[in-house]
Amino acid sequence: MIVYHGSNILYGPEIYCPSIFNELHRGKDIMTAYKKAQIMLEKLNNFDDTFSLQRALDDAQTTSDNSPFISTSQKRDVARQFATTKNGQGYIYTIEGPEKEFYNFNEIRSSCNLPQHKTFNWMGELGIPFEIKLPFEIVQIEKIIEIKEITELIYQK
Amino acid sequence: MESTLREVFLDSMESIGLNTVKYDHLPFNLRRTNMSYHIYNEISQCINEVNLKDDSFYEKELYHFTKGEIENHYKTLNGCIALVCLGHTNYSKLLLTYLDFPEARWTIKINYLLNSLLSNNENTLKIPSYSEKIEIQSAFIKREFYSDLKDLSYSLLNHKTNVNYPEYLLSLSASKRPISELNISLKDNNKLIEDDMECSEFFYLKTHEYLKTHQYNTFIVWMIRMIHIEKVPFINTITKSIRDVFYELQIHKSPNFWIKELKKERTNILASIFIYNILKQDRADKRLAARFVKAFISDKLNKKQLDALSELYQCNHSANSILKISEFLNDSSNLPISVKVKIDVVSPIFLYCIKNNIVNIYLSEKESLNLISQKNKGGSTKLFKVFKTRFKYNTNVLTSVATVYSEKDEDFINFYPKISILIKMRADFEATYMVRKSVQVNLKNYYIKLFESWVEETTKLENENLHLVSSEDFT
Repeated sequence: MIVYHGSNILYGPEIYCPSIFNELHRGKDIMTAYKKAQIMLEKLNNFDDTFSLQRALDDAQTTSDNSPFISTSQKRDVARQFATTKNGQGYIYTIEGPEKEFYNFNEIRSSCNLPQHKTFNWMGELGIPFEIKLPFEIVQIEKIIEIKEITELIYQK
Repeated sequence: MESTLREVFLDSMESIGLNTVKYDHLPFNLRRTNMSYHIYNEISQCINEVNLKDDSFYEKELYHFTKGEIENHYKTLNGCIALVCLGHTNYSKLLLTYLDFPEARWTIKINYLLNSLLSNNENTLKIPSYSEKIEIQSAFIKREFYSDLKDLSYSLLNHKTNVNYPEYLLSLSASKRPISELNISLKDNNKLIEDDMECSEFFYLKTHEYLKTHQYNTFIVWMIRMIHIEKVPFINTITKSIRDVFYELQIHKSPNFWIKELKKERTNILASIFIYNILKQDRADKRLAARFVKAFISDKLNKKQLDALSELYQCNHSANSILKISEFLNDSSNLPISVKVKIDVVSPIFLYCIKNNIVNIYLSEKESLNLISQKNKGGSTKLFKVFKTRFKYNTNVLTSVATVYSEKDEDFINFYPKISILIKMRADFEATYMVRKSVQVNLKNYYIKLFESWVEETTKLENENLHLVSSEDFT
């Protein structure tokens, strides 16, 4: 399955999820950062306690610092919005991976009878746990320099 | 659109730990006031901790904040979203600041809400692009942030409640404070929100008591007795609470009926302004305002005079309205004495509008500079250009106010020197910092200093006046 990830920065060779990325920039070592992300993932995979699960889902979707996933979507437009919101420029990463390996937020909510998050369900968010490595693979990186409006005149007084 | 907005509101309320269900028994306005009070209580500590005054989010990344700081910011943001949804549109300035917070996901709700305030039809949930953010920030700078923004609470909250509120209050335990008389202290600004709630409750219950038994005249007599200068700052709360009662008891008496009832008693012009604000159908019911002006001030006014006084009845504090009223007051020397006396009585309302306008000017200009000083590359030059035009216009409004003079109103007399000082300081500021095309470094801080010096100067002036009074007492 092909998905897209948008960011205003061009990552180094390793692409980590925001919670690990931010912890590394806060001066934590990789092991500590990973452990924290693992705890987050455990909560997100605990389908027995739907109350805690909903909270974990909301937290992860609301603030990227609380997410153990690299956020992607099948909609390229969503990735573009993430990429360009900071200063008008950014990068779109095209990623390939097996469908069942993604953490599908909307699907998990509906399979656990949890309400869809009204602010985020339009994104169709698909999570890649921790970092981009096999079976996930980056197939393309594009730099967005400018978004142009293309119009066709259909009426003029 | 309304359902999405409701979701945005409910999501924010939930995020700060407040459940809206517990407010369902309250009438519309009391519900709004109570919710606002609790939201403010919930976020006040976070606001202090996040120190928004010095923060420029544009250059920061999420990892520059600790987890605790992020949580505080998120709570503050949600509090502001909920307050804006409840009609406190002045909090929109903080939302504009949060548009630059380094968490794109947070901008989805902000963008939707700000576009709803601006009545943009093509409003969807999305992350705004960089240029869309600049556009929206620029729109708010032009429109002074909140003076004519939509009050979304009417479409968000159900107007009706299934609970009989007066009965509900009676059924509460004895520990509930009895509201016998209203005691409002205007000295303590921090108490203002509590006073607002108290005012709201008091006027609701008393009005309900009179109107459920159709004692219309008793209600009017009571209003005339209750409404005097100290109640002017609470005009919004009082009139909205009474409107709740009108709605609940299905009182549909025509404006003529109320005008006649008011005229039966010794006229209290201030009370007539309050009654107008209860009866008006929307924020700008100009025709009704004109009817009230004709009935209680004079029916021999020309169109311009009628327009200006209608603005006053509507308590409009937009720059345009202030200009109209100032012009009218400056040209009022030819009016008959009987009309002039009445205009003197309504001067506290004008002062109330001016003060609101100045607060609005300060907050909107400070916030504009906050956005501009965030080095938004091309964006900051564009925003600065808009700001300069807005700044000049605001100074013109203040200049027009400074030429108005009322001999009768002591508050007014005391207020004049303060406005003159402010105009002088603004002129100096403009000549020093705003001549260049590009934005001067630290411009926001210089601007804050301008207002701080103004407050300092005016306090000095107040103390000198106090000193004069006490010297006179001794001689």
